[in-house]
Amino acid sequence: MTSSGAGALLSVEGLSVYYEQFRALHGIDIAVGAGEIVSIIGANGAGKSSLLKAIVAQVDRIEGRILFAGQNIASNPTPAIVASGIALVPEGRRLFPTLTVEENLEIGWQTGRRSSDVGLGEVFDLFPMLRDKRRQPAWQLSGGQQQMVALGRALLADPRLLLCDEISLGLAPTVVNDLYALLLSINRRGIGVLLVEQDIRRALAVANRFYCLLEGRISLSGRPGDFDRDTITRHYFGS
Amino acid sequence: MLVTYLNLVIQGVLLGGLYAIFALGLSLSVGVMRFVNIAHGDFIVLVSFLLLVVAAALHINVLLALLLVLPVAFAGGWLLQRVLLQRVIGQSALLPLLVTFGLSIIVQNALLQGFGADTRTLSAGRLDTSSLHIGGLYVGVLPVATFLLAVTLVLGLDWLLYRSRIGANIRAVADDVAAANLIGLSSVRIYATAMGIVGVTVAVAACFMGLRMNFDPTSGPSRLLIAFEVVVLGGLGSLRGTLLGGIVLGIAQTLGGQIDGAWQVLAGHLVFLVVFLLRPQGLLPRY
Repeated sequence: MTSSGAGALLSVEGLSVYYEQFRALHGIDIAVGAGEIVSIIGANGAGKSSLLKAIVAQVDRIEGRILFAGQNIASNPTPAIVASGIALVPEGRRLFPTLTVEENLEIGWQTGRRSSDVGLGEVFDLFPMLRDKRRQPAWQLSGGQQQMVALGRALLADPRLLLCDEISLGLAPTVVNDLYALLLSINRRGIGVLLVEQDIRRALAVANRFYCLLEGRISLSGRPGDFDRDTITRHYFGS
Repeated sequence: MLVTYLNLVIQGVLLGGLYAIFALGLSLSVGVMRFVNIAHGDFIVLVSFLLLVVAAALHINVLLALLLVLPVAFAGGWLLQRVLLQRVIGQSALLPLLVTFGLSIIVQNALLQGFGADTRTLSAGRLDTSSLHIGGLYVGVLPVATFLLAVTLVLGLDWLLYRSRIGANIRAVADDVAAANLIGLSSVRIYATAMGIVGVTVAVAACFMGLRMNFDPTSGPSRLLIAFEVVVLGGLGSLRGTLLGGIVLGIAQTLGGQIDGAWQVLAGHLVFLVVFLLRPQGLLPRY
């Protein structure tokens, strides 16, 4: 398993993110290997979402390099980045509410690698309850079902790297358990997962490695088993 | 007596078809891109002049000229969105209003400079005057053809918007621009395509307006007013509503015109106001 360097699927080097005068990330280095689940933990405003948005080129300005499969994608537009195999499950799901479940999912396929290996049928196999709701507008679904559509939309892009932004937010614990079990099975197919999560326990339970962000800098990183709970909490809150 | 009124209603419905064609482009830009194009009427007049020039220069029927102009209109809409409107869209409601208001003034004055203030019409040859005799009523072939075209366009655009991939993309961007950009669906490209489609409807409106009514470089605002009333009557974002709105306005104007020539336009505005007061969401609202 690759942890950093040239062999990594994603390698972020010296990344700083700016929103006008505000600097959200201060030159951070992060790597994700092809078969890895990497969690980013940190408090509100630590820069977790900024990192994911920077990877898909949805922030004002960045410095540093973002290497995906060896190519620097830092100056590419979002559609090109997604089409090259990075799919984002955005915070708050961000489905298109008036579009049907099926239409939402198809947009995922269309923006992604347009592979013939993935199709609606596969997503419906993963989430059987969506099959019956395929013609319903997305706003009629429950939060958990919407999160399934958001994840399905990203999977239809046939990504090599999946970015998940707070997928447990606002969902019932049993639903979250299902989603996390699914992330593991997705990962076993060789899809790298970069997971942003406020829930430390969940994030660490599935991760091969983690990075803790504190005010835009990495305060701690390694394997979840390498540190005790207190150490992680201390670096999370920065006391 | 009854036949007279039946005749008037039929004329009104047919006129409504033309009004619906005026309004389709505006309905799309209001309903999908959420901005009001003040220059909509002026673009229609601009393309009418373009059709006049193309038909005269190539010595072809104006309907044939329309076929040639359609791709140009698509490209025009696409470019307008890409180079100008994209810069102001989504920031505040006021900016697109001001920019298209400016465009309206530019188009009117450029046309005045280029063509003078003379009143013009387009001619499609024999089609202009031929009529059908149906059960004691005479109806013009051109108004009937215009109405059928309006129905076809509404059904076609409805299909495009609700059954095709590009339509799903357009509705996705209308739902949530930021989300579309976030997942790699380029809103810039989709807005430009949508405006290209608006351009095509503008060209069709330009042709059939010119065949039916007089126009001059300053006719745009009155066309915009009709289109705007039709869109609001029908309900924002609803294409079928736009067709119905056109028919209601057409009937109101024809019946008003029967009372007194001066009442024609006024009756249309009054019906618009009454419907707007009683049913502000429009006749067939989508939202």
